[in-house]
Amino acid sequence: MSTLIIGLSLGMLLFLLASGLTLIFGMLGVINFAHGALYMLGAYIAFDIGRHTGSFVAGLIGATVLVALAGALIERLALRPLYDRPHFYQLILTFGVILVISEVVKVVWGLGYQESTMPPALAGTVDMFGSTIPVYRLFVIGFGALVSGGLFLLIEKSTFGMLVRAASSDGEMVRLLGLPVASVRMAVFALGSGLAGLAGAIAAPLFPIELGMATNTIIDCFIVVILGGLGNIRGAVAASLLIGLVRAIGYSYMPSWVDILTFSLLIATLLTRPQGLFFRATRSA
Amino acid sequence: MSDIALKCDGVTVSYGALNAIDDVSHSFAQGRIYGLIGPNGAGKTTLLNVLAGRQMRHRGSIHCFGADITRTPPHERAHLGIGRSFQITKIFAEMTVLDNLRIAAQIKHSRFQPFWIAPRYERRLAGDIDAMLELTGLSARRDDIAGTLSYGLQRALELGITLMPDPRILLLDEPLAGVGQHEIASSTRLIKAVSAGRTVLLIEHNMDAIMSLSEEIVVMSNGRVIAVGAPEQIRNDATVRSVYLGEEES
Amino acid sequence: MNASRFDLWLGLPLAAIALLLPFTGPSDFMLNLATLVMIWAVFAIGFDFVFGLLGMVSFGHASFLGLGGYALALATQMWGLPFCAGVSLAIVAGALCAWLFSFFALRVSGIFFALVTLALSQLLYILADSKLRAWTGGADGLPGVARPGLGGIDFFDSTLFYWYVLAVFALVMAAVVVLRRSPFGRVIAGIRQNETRAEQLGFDVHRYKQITFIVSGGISGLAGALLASLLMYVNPQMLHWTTSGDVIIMTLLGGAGTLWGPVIGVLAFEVLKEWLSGWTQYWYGILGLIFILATLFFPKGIVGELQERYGQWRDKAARRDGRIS
Repeated sequence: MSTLIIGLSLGMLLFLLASGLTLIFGMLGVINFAHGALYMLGAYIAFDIGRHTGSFVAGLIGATVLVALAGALIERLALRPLYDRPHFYQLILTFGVILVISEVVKVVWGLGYQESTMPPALAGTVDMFGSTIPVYRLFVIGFGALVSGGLFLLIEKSTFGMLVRAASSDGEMVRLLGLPVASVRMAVFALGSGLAGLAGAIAAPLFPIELGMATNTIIDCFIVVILGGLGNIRGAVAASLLIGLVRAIGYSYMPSWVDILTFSLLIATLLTRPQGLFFRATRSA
Repeated sequence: MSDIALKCDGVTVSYGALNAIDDVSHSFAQGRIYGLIGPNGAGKTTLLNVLAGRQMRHRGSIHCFGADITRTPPHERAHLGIGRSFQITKIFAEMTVLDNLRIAAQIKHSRFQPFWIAPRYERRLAGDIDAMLELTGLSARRDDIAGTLSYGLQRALELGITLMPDPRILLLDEPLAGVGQHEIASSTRLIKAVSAGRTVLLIEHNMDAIMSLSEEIVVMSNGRVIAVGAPEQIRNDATVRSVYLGEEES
Repeated sequence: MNASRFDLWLGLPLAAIALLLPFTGPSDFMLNLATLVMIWAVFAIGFDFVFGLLGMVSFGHASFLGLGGYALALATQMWGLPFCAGVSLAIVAGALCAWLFSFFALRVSGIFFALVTLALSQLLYILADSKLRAWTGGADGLPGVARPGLGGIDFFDSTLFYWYVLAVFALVMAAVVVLRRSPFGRVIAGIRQNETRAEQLGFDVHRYKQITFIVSGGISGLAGALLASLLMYVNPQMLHWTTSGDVIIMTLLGGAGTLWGPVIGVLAFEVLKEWLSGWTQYWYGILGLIFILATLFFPKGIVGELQERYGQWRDKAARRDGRIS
């Protein structure tokens, strides 16, 4: 049972992380290599705010807002001039962004590991279904579900969501209608980045905070986003939970094979179902 | 049956619920020039794509000189003698005119391309290249970068590249599109000249040109072949007038 | 013709510097840096076969480099083979790995090609780091990789090893010049410029891409062997995807698809790195910033921009002389 809870919490965390990446790809067509770096930045910021104010919530909010701002800045300064160029320029540019963010983190927080403390209110354990479960894990699951629900409402029901979907399917048309495509793009990038920051803040008490997060996390994001289908938020939810559970179960039974199996699944998916595991193709012919 | 160059049987291409081509069966006889006409969205370009192998997701079968080529990839079809020009010019834009034709000549002369600098091989290509420069009127522009040519000359180069491997079957998608008014007559003459001895499927919106070039007109509408006949016959066909010519006059 | 004269003008001073450097009494540090630049340049040239010539972004080239390094290490240490055999094996290993990758990666294009190659190379990295520890030494790597032995010449001497690498580099450069100007090279360029046209003409585009990918992998494997030999050490970090990222940066910085671009890119990267790390420990971030600015403002890279200026200058000169109407 506790394996299931750990798996679900891992999955929710992965979803928070990957949703921003898939959102950005779906709406802007940009693969943001620096997403993992933004996640790392979120973790460091939350850690620092938590250390100084003693408030976990302040860290959560601070990390989300500051990383969203960083995202907006990146979009405005680096990506906006590149939309008309071949896609790989954006891909490669965001690789450069990783280096810069990593260096900023190094300057501010140094090279070593940082350990964030669990907020006291969530630090305990509860007995459920006959096993002992950390409260924080339950919090991650609940919070993740909340955020994903909010995300769906935002994208599918709000005016902003409609505008975003219109801009992603036909930017030129939307521009002709006098709607602010540039601002929409920036907002989407900021939102996606903010989600990465939030994920970082949530993850901070669970894992050691270190520089390797930038390059390792992005690989996890890619796995989820590809399995779920690039740009497909519903698929990302399913893929995150799947990977979370596979990891949790895998780590307790055959730890050394987990990564190898995940990657094999990833490659198989890329080849046989490039639109994602959960894509229902409208078959022609 | 060897006098049939291309034959499609029950070819259907669907995009979701929409059939871009709907159960087309038709045989194209060797050495004849066919004009493919019909309103926009009738499925003309899709049919050329099916025949050239660009659109492989279709029902039905395709035969080329009696051989089933339904599952044959585009580059293999080229070796069977199918040449294709495109409505949107597809040339090697960053290369010189000469190099564009040189690449096309390479595939005609050898399926194996040397990894090394091969002057003798290049010399073998020279005759064909010069002849094609002459034919397309591009001799004076041989060293120009293809992408910098005027639109009309790019169309000429497109045709030259398509013709270079000496295809038995020519699929021409709007060769006159975008060609300036004063060049239409000469371009039409060029197409007429290169069509001799070949099976040609020609899509063209210029009615005068297609009526004078074609020996047989195939009219398509909503993915179906609705009429086939000689140009004069088609001109006077009531159905065709209503779906196509009528539409154009209104 | 225009481009080849430009390449010559650029290549001559570089060749002169490379040939004269050992006679200027350089420090060991200087010689090793120059050797490193040439080795990475071989890697970048190999990488640019796929990136610049085919126009495909591969995030899998770290695998070919790393496998080359391990092939040399294993051949000379475990199996006691001579250095030359080890290097040949490294080329074969890189090419073979590229061949295997091509079955997966060439089925997709664009961003998916980048992602598939990334996934494949990370899989290899994880395997090298864990399952294949007996062969790769795990995270510790394999120390004591051999230097070439040739009739009693001591290649542990920095100068002699420099000459060895320079010879290999010159050979690779010559091979690249020939290949780019060959009929095969022309077809590759054609495929990048208009894949549909090339296919419709009758070229088996998939086969051409596959061959190019394999050649690229072989050259990268060679670079990996030389790198392992220079450092006398291999570890899985060579296989990590960020190594692929580095070579992309260098190639783009110098100018993808140009003859000297990858070389100049590596040179600029390494020189900047040495210079920046002299006055700040945060050189990697500044390099990242320079790279971002370069991508934004000089997307053709150093050599690409120069080549364009040179072309404009020649056109202007020609027009002044009335040679072009």
